[in-house]
Amino acid sequence: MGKDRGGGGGKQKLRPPNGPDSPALPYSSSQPERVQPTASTSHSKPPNFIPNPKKPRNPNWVSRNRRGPLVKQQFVKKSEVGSSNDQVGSGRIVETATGQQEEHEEKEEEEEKERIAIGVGVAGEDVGASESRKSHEDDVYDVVSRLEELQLGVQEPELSDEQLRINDQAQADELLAMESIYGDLFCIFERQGDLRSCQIHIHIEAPGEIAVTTKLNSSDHKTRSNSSDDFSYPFNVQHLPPIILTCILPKSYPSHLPPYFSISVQWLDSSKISNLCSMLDSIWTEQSGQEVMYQWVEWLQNSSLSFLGFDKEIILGPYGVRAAVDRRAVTGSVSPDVDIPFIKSYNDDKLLENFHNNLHECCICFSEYAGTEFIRLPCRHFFCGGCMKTYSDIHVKEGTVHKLQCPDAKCGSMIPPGLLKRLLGDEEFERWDSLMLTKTLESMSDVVYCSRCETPCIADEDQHAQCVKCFFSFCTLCRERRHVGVECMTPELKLRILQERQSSSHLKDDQKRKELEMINEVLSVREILRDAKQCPSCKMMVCENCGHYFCYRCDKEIDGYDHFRDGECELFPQEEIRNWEAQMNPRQVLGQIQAQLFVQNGQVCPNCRQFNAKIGNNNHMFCWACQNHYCYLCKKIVRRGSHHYGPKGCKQHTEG
Amino acid sequence: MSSPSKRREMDLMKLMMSDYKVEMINDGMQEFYVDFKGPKESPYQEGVWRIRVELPDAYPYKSPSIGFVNKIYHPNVDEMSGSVCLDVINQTWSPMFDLVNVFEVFLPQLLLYPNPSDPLNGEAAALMMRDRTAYDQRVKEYCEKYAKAEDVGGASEEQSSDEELSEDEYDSGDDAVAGQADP
Repeated sequence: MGKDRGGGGGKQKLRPPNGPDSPALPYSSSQPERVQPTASTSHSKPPNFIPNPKKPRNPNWVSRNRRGPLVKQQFVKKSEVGSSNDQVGSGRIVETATGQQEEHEEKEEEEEKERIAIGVGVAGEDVGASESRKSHEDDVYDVVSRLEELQLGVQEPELSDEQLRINDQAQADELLAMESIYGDLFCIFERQGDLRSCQIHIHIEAPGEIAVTTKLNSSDHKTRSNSSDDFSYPFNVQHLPPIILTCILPKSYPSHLPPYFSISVQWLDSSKISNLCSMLDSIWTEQSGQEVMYQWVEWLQNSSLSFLGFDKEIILGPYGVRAAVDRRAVTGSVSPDVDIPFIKSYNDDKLLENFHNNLHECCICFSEYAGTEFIRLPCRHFFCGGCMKTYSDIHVKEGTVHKLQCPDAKCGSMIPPGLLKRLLGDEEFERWDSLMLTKTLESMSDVVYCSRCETPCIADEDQHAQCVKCFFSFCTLCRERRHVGVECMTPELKLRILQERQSSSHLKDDQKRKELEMINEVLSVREILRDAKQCPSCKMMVCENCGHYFCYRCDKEIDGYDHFRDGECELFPQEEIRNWEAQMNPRQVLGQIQAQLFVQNGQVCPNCRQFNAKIGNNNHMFCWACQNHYCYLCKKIVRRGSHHYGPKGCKQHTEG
Repeated sequence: MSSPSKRREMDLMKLMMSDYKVEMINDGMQEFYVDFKGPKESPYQEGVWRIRVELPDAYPYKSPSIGFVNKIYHPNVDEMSGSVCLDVINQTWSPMFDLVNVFEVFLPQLLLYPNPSDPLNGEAAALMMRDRTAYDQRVKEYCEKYAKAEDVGGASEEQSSDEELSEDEYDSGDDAVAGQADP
């Protein structure tokens, strides 16, 4: 495979050979820096695919090109897809790739490591695999050598100088035009042995999303794929990995010969690419003698998918089919488990890139920011960084940590804690953490706190728990020491005992103090219970902790008001209603009555719009409904009577 | 917070665009009145209420407070002050909700399906549970008495009372107005 022994030296033109050229790979050491075509024989012409340094370097495209032949190995070893994975493969191929390598300073170390890793991995493969790999290598040539082949296979006609000059000019013009049309996607290379060469990435986009399915069955008999036999894994993408068209322009282009070209597509198999190649040929034949590259690119961009029958849906595969293919077709398609992740991640990367480059509007604050300002949650909802921060801060400050989920109304999925840490800062994040823990523990019914060391413990049945920290064994109901067979001490009894002990003399001081505290605690609990009984006039209650409803009277868990409808428990016992009415502010009642009686003289309250009657001459009104003071004359709310009424302001007493 | 007023402006504008009569109280975009019709298919459907909306500083991260200006008979609305329990709104609030949501979704839902867990008007809650028909009847009575379209329109500004007078005394309208103008 002498052909593959390529130009390790080709790269050296731009940079002295150094580390990334792995010592593990044998180089033909005698490569001159810039290889002249005349100096080499047909066997080992190291192609010099170093792009014109004036071009803005798009670090992605060259590697994408080269990924074609080399993908298989890399996916076998590394799951990550990225433009840095272009140095993989066996020693020979990598060498050639190195020859084509562009300057990737930032990626070199990575590539170096990968290469070694791959080299190791490659060595470890089974024999069977390596055999198939070898056959793949036969197929999988790099673009360069193929183009070389093409070039060698064609005999250029002898042309007059005049003709050559015309062609040359036409070529230069065409390249210029292509460059201005396609910009970064189009790249002009160093001359290949005095011949112009260029490459263009053709992106196929499907803004409406195109489905991609896979046909695993390699049998040629099947014309239509039956889902029962073929495993189909459909997914939608908007961006497809590009078609890479590489051309070398012969001297007799465009007058006699078409450019030598090669098409490299990551995800199409060779036979389909070969079809594309034949199509390009026929496009040339239709209008030979004219510049054709633009037509090619346009056709590939717009019509290639439909030509292959992929209008609505792209079908990957068939895999494992070996057909006689065009040498110009370079495929990276290996197997579904390699291609599918690649296509998907390319699509994701592209979508993310587009997102970052565009302005978006945050749906919370309606401000526009660049895509990079946004934070995207795992549930795919995105919000601007400022809003997320405010949102998190407010909830943590108020303690409503359980509501700190995705702000989207219907989503409510969790926010990853790592992100929260970034948003909140360390201190607030701590607070969030402890609040979450407390709330979660509280919602668990079988968690009790040890009365000695306050660690949460799990309760067994029988109302028993043992603390894991201090091994205190206690009753979960009263949190006292475990008492088997005896009931818990009632609060009254406990209170009485404690109070009696207070008056006894043989208690030490601090013990006395402690017990005094306990007395106070029992007393306050009693107070609380008393209040808690009287407040709700309606007998239904809801627990603040877990949100369950229960009947206050009979302590049963209920589902709604049905419990009160038929049964013993009354929702509004008569006595409660009477008490409530008695407790209602008598002044309110008076005010209401007055308002009804003295209808002719009154004014609606500016605050709550309830009608209030004016009493006598006094213009100072006190609303019985909302307790606001206001002036009858000017109908404004009065804060300080002394300020409002006076010689300068309204008169406080007027007739009528 | 980035441009807090922009969100408020947008929400207010959207509310006005959806054919709600909005009346600002002051220029701070903090409080305003909205006229709200009772939802169809409910005993409240004939009623028109004037609703006072107050946007807290932390809006939209905190829900707005809603109060009914004219009387309404509803388990979750305090009859005297007209305020709706904040918790009921806050529990389901998300920063992506806006004011149109409140008037199109939340309030109609509240009127159609009162939340029994937090009755501000316990009597209404009890009545609803005990005797639905009587409850509906009572609601309608209140609508008749307090939630007519005139109630809402008349309770707005001081000028409206002048307008009423001038409408009633149309014949001597000019004289009457002129009479009042002199201090």
